[in-house]
Amino acid sequence: MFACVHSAHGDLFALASSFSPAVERTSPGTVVFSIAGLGQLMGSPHQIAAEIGRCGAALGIQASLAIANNPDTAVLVATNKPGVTIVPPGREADALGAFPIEALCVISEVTPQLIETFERWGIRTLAGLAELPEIGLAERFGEAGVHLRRLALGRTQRVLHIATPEDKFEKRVELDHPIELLEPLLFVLSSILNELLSAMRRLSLAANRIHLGLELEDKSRHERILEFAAPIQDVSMLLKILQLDLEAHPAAAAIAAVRIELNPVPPQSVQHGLFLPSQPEPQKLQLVLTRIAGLVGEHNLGSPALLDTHRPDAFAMLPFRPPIPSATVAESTPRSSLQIALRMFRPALEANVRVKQERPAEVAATGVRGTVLTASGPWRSAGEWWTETRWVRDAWDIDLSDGGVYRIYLRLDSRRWFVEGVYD
Amino acid sequence: MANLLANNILSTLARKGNFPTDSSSFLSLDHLSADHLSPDHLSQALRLPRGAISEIVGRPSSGRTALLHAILAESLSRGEICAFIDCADSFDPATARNNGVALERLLWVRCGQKPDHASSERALKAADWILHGGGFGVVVLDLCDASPETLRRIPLPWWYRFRRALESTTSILAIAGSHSIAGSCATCVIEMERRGVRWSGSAQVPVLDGIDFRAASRKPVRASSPLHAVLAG
Repeated sequence: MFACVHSAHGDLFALASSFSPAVERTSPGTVVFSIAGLGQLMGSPHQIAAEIGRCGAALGIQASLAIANNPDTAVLVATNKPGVTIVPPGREADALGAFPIEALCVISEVTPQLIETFERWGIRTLAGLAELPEIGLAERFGEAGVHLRRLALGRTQRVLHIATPEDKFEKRVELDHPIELLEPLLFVLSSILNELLSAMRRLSLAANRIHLGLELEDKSRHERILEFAAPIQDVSMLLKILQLDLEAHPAAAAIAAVRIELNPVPPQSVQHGLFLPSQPEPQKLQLVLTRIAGLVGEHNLGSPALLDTHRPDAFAMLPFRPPIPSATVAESTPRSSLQIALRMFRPALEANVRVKQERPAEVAATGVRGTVLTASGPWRSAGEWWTETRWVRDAWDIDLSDGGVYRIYLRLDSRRWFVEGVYD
Repeated sequence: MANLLANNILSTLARKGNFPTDSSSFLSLDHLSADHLSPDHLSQALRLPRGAISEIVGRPSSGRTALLHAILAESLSRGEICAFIDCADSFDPATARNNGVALERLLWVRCGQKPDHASSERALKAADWILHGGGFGVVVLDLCDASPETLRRIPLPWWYRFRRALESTTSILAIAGSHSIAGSCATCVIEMERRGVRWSGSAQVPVLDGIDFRAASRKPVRASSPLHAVLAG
């Protein structure tokens, strides 16, 4: 069975997609979709039609609906008869018979010239066309004539030309009056997010990135792109994240228009196990990360990743994306012994170093001062001479009289000493 | 049969670390004394109480950071998610990875380059949000570089708030600093002390070989003998 919805307004594709993945956009304002299998979920065709009507009302769609055994009959009935029509199997010709011959124009293969010829013959309705002999039509019009007669009888069978869902979930709203405060802006954002996320939920999608574009009164733009640790479907959660981000990064002028674009991805589904370690809830985690990012800055939050270089203290901050917990957690590399940890001074502390017999003897820097008891070095390293991050230095491990064990180094290009960190 | 099943489940939960276990989850330093201690042995010996605040205190080069690495590595190896809240931007990912810290499951919060009052306040706020968000195995609040004045200015209600947030959870809040600051809110206090530096090689060309440290339980006091171990260079 197939259902066809016809209306000049509303998101018909979203309505159809909430019932079937096989949806055809027959023409602007007309969609037809398969309802095969829905009988087990919803019941009789009348009950399916009632459910479609209820969903359409929720989406604010006023449309005509037809349910028939084949898609063409459903389209012809829906486009020519307002209200809800259910065509019982075998009664297609009766349902179509009263429609004028021009009704066939909604079917793409039917040319206006063909319709004009039938009208000259005095064929005004589909019932008249159905009464013509099939052989005679074949002799005069070929295969097209036979196809038209089958359309009039409601006996065609074809596969749907399935349309792919729109991969863009975006909306732009121009405001009547510029908004300066965050609170009224959140009302606008809330309605946009509600609409976009409803459309996503109908397609079983979630957002893993939001692009917020604010067009300001002074013609400039305020753009924010937020990526989430886990896909989000919840409007209130997404709104809270936007609120926190806009509090941390307010717009420079009053807002004249708002544009939101969501990136759709399949929602994350996690099967928690009794023996798996507890993990942060993805949406709560995202909220926490947004709060902290507003506090310390986005670049100061994430997972460290070591870079493939010998340059000292070379790392990158990656967005925090903890892997989904599984029963088989990869054990970390076995370690033979616990090694000394280094506490870095960032930036390195510039130091005054007194050198005696080519070895550091006394060190004085901010918070670091003392006589060198033992010094190990120099450990020369250099690299990346072809970039701005080049380094060439002699490093020393020193045991200082203040009780600390430090790593210091001499930059050979500038002959300046620095304290890089303390072993702890 | 039912008792046997329950015992099996409880022992599995305890083994997996999902459950605040009995006294075995508390600090016990009296059965280990070894050179070149492996991180696994160390973390077993210094198992911190879950759902509570622990403090690791000591002077620079006393092994506080290495101990934090061992605690993080042990938690991360069980598949937990951990956080390192860095008051002075001093965390070194390279040595952390050498100590077995799985960096991809570690949330690093860099609160500023100067360990001043503003930086410590940011660190406390971040810790508060993380603890209330829940789900983290170990949350490290590194205040090692904060001055005593800065630490004294931290209002006491923060610690009560953290203790309240940790109750009935399996998370550990490990605070590292120069001295104990959480007072009665801390369930466990480990004092780290440097005993000496080991050098190898000749007198002319010495090579840093390791640091001897001593970890003593200051709270609870029932743990008697301190743990002596060596950090390899």
